[in-house]
Amino acid sequence: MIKFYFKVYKKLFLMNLSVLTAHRAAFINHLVGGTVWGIFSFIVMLLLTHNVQSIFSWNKQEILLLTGILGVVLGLFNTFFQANFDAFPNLVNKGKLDTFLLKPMDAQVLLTLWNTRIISLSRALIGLVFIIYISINYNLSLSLIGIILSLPLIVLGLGLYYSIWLIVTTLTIWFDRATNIVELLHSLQSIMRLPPVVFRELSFILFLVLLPLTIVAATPVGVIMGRIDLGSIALLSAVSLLFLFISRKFWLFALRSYTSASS
Amino acid sequence: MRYFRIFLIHFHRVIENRSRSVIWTLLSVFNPLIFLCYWVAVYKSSGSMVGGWSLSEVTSYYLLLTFGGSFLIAHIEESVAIEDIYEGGLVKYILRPFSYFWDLYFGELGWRLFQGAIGIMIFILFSIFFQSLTTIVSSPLLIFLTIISVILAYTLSFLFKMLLGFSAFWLTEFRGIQSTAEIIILIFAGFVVPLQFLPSMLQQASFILPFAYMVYYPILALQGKLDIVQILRLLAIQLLWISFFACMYRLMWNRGIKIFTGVGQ
Repeated sequence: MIKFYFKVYKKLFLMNLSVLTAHRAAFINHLVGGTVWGIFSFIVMLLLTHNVQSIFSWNKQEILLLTGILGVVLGLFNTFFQANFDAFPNLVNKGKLDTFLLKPMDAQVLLTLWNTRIISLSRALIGLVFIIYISINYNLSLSLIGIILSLPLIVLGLGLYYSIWLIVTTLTIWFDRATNIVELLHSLQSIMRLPPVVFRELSFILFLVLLPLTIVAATPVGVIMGRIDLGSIALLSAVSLLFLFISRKFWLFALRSYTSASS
Repeated sequence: MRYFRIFLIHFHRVIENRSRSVIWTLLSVFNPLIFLCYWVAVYKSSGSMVGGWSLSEVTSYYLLLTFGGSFLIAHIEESVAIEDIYEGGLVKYILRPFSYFWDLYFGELGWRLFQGAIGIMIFILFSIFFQSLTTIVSSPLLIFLTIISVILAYTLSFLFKMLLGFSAFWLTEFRGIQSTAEIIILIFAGFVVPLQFLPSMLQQASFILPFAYMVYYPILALQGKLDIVQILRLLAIQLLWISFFACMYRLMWNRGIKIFTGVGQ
């Protein structure tokens, strides 16, 4: 079964690759746009931390590292999932979801992996370059063990972010005119750039509401910095798995209400 | 009078699409509020002033920025470049017996007024809950001068966005320049941090560029951080930039319209 899914994904990936090489102007346009916005997110954090040395337990280096790690997470998310979630509300609105539901594969897998925006890997690359830049300029000592240990946490963070997107975009099955809900989700990225402590010190309720978003990149940062906090790791793992489970159940539940365009 | 009617026609369309408008306003409110959360945490953590600003000044600044983002910045460039120039929609404006510029100016004003009103409501709501953290201009003369500076700021941003849209007369790909301009505006108009928080080199550049006069200084005036002399100076600089952009507008329009082919019509 898994072999079959890999085979299909390989075909889809190659198809996306040929689309990329066929439209060279669009390729360059996306590359420039992605790079410019990728760099901008780092400039924003450099400007925000220009007059700041620390926020409670987080120092400047850690806040900047958080931005770098988030750049990698978002780069990977944009590459493998973003284009699919961006298209999702319009597919529902125009009744084109049927195409996916009728195929002999799991519709969620197919729908969220159909398009691969390979060019967005540049954003993940910029994130890596930024991490190297701050580790050199801010004397950040990154341990190899920390980096290796953070990799599964980054995958868990990616899973959590995927689930949040799936839950919110699934809502369009009931609210099919809310096509700009995607824009709202894009703006959530600015919450993930800040350490969770920012929201915890402001309001505990706000902190709890935003928790799934704030731990996506913050937990790997702690591990990379050598602070292996088992509580945080367990929290990210539990929240991520719980959200993956909820999003799956929610998706299957929502499909029962899908009526297609002509119904 | 006819431009007022044009305004009313466009405003009718704004009211028809009010739910979209509310979402766009919420989006423009979202980022300043996140930045505000960040700065509140910074002030709580350090317990001192940052860049010579107190917590209440920073709070007022970001709350007023929600109004600035929704009222002061025109979003006309994409429709000018893509719908009017690339897709040929300009043809219908050329045939009308009134100016393309004023038609778009009053059309956009409707959107800005509606979204700006929501921005003001959000500011008032926050002011009620966090009274001690918000400051606003109170002298009648300063209020009058501030309103003029806000109108000029909108005009300045509108002209700049029109010129940006006109670049599509010559460029086959508009998105690159649009993204770059958007980033420059976000930094130099004070959307990320108050300009006084920027490194000195960027600070100096921001005073030379026109973007600070579109958002940053009008917001300082609304906050009551500028005295009469400073506001008059702001008005003079805004008028200078408007004159410069108006000349550029005429030049680009006259040249651009000669190479416009009306493809798609």
